[in-house]
Amino acid sequence: MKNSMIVAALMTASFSAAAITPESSWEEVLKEAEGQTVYFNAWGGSPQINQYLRWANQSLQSEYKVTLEHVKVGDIAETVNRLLAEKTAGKHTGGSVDMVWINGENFKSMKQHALLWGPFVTMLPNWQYVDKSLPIDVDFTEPTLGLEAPWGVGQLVFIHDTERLKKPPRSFNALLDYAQENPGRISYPQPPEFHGSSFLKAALIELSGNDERLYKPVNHDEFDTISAPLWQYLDALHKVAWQKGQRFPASSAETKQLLDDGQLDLAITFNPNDANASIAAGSLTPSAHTFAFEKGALSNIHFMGIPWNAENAAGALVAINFLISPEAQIRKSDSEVWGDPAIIDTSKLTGETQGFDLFPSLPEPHPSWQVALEESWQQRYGVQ
Amino acid sequence: MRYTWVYWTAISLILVPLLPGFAGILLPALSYIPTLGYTEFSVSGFIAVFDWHGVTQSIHVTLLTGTVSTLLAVCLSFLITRNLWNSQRWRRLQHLLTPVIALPHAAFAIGFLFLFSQTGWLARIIDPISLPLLTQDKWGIGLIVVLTVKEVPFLLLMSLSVLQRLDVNKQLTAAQSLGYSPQRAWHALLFPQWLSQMRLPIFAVLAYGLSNVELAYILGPQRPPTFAVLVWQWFNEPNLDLFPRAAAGAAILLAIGLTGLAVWWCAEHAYLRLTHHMRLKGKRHTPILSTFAFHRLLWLPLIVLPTVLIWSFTFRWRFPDVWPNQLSFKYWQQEVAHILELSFNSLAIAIPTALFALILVVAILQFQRKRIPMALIAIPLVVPHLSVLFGIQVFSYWIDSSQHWLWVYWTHFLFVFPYLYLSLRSSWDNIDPRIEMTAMSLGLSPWQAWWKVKFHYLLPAICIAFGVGISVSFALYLPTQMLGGGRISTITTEAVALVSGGDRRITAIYALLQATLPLIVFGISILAQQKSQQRLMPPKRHAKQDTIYALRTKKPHYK
Repeated sequence: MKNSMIVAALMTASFSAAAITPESSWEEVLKEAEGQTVYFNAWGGSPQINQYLRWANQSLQSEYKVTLEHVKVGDIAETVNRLLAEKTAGKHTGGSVDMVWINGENFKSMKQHALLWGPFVTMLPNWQYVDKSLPIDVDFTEPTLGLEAPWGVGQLVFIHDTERLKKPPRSFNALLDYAQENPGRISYPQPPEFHGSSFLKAALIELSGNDERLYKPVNHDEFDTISAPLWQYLDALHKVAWQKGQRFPASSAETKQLLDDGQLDLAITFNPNDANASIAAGSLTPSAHTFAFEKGALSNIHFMGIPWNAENAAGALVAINFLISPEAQIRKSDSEVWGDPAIIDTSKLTGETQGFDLFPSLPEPHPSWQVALEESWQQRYGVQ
Repeated sequence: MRYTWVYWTAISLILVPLLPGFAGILLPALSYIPTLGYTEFSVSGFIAVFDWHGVTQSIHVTLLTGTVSTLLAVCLSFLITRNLWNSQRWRRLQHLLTPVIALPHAAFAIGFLFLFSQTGWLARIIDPISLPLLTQDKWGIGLIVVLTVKEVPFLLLMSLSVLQRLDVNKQLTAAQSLGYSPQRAWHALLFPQWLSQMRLPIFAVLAYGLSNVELAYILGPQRPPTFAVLVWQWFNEPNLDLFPRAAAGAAILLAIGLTGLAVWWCAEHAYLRLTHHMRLKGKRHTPILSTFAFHRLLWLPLIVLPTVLIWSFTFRWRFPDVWPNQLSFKYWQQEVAHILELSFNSLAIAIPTALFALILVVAILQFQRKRIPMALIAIPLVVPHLSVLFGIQVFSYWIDSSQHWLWVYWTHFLFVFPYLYLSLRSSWDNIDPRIEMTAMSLGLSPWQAWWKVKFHYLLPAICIAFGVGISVSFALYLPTQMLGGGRISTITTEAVALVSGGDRRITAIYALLQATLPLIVFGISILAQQKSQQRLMPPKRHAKQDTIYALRTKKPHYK
């Protein structure tokens, strides 16, 4: 697979003499990038993120003469399909996508099918600022091998309204107790929605006592024994869940909406700063507050990658380098802007933290667990 | 025939992208995807589909919502026609139809959600406990309601030209003179004729009901979802090794759609045959059928819009407050710079596409005796866009994928053409050939006879078909996104991306835009039609005479 990537890179090089390779110097990259338009396929569901990328585009244009065009997609898997179509047609140069925002399964799939350009992260001058104590070289246990650069940190946390719920439950067992005392007030997004599946994984980590087998590829004989407590737990939870477990919210956004509508007592999110950002955006009440469970928050990092056939790889490198710069990262962590935690150590640079601290983190299980849990959930609860 | 090339141009414009489109479904469905290392044919994709727990329930719910909504829509359109025929309200109704048809399905669904969900506006006004669950309910009732209400105007519109042809008043008079009550005459005499003339529009409605994704996703049941939603979710599965399952699902969805149409066709024939002898017996008894004001339902899509409007200006609006706590122009201000460009793109795609399709349709209907095979029209309506587009996309890379606009135009044409063809075909087939003959006998050339006389008879239908084409193009997401390579953004691509974030205020802005843009174009085309119609009409009569005229037409003619 690595070979095929090198071949692809060589082909790119042979078609156009000026094209850069992962061995190119940064000066060559900057020169090549001038005047390029980088098509960045990224989820476009958040007005705050879209606004942030507009700002990044302005800075990139004035500093590097690179235009960053945000191609807003509803689901990045659309883009993975698109790249697959390009590969099927043998389009190994001049691809339509220059940069993607991915992690987890999408990364694994792109890596597995050699759809990524690189490795490139050590080419980036701003790589020096990246906080190497964060798990930036694995993506859901899959080694990144420098094929994607970190952009921000996701932590599975909950939001509650401090006026309505003073002391929120801080563990999955406490959550069940709470739900049994207050029927109809707890729910989670329906798997295979990303947050819903993550809820299952986090619950399983706690209920299995953080079994180390969760971090290896799933073994089907062991799956039933290891996951049994989770299904018992969910059987009990669904009985007292929102809408008696007949319906589940469709997304993290819906749980926030339902929290604000007073239907749920807890919303679920991957942004540890979501409550502040949502208060600033008017979608949550000022008394909303983010918290994590005692055992820690399921944590992962979201990344930026470059497709193997990108037409403007140099421009993409410049854009990624800018997006991991202290300037861009500090702005990104501002709740008024986006509120996504930085992947650089801000305190070293400015002497200030980003205004909030990350929660103690739990690593993501092996991706095969997610698939197995989603399938099993579907078997048990997928049909009403 | 001299104009055979027009016919073949249309056929090839549809077939050329459909063929690779089908290859794009069938080869991966049979697990042939060399890029992913699958080089041997197998049916494992189909096995994977049926291994998915709940797939039979999902197909059931698809069939249930698709057929029930179509049946309801057909019955309601007929009853509304019967109840309002010859009344003042019938004329007013015709004006109402246009805005309702122009409203894209997704915008209506969003408005419906804002109004009827458990924390919607209605629940804020009245006690939420007493509200039935109408969104994402197990039986898909909300979905059926929205599909039905949205399709009735389309069917009514289509039936306008059918009724013109049937010369309803004359038939009613004849029936009454034989002792049939008007109601009985409608049911025994007019309904069978109406039903068979309406077959194509009904096919479009049924096809949409069985294969729509966005409505079912927003309002349909979720455990399990409808089959179209399921296939769409499979296509969005990051694990590319599951691609054969998605493609097999797409092939099955196509089969479900085509079977649905075949079953409808059989059922229609069986019904007509079964009721044939009843008609021959000449039973004159009137079945008691409600004269309930079904047409009120037509207002529903417009009633949901005020909620959407309010949400677009909201900053904070907590449940269960009846009015927003804090209003703001913030989101409009933030979006306005982009809205202009996006609207321009939407129009720049929709108008040329609809115009081109219109010219082709008119040319074929006018100059060709041959009609386009129904299957060819039905396929673009039934087939899941995602799967066909994958094949088309691969095809575009082989030729020249950098022609983004060209490919976007072509794929939009593929999905717009069938609607235009359906809208206009019956108008053409229904027009009395003697009109043209008379014109020619008065000394006009065939061209003049067409342009100066027949065209004006058809102009209302043409204007409305054009509007339908525009709104279909406006609402297309995947063709723009996939073939445009992200270079072309429209109101709809922006809306879909933002709706995935679930922010009601932003969703509201884009739903409104989606609703108003086609409405403006529709309005302009209707105005243009009325202007040209006025030139043909004799000088305006006075209002008083107008009513007398209306009264007179109500009386039976005996000559």
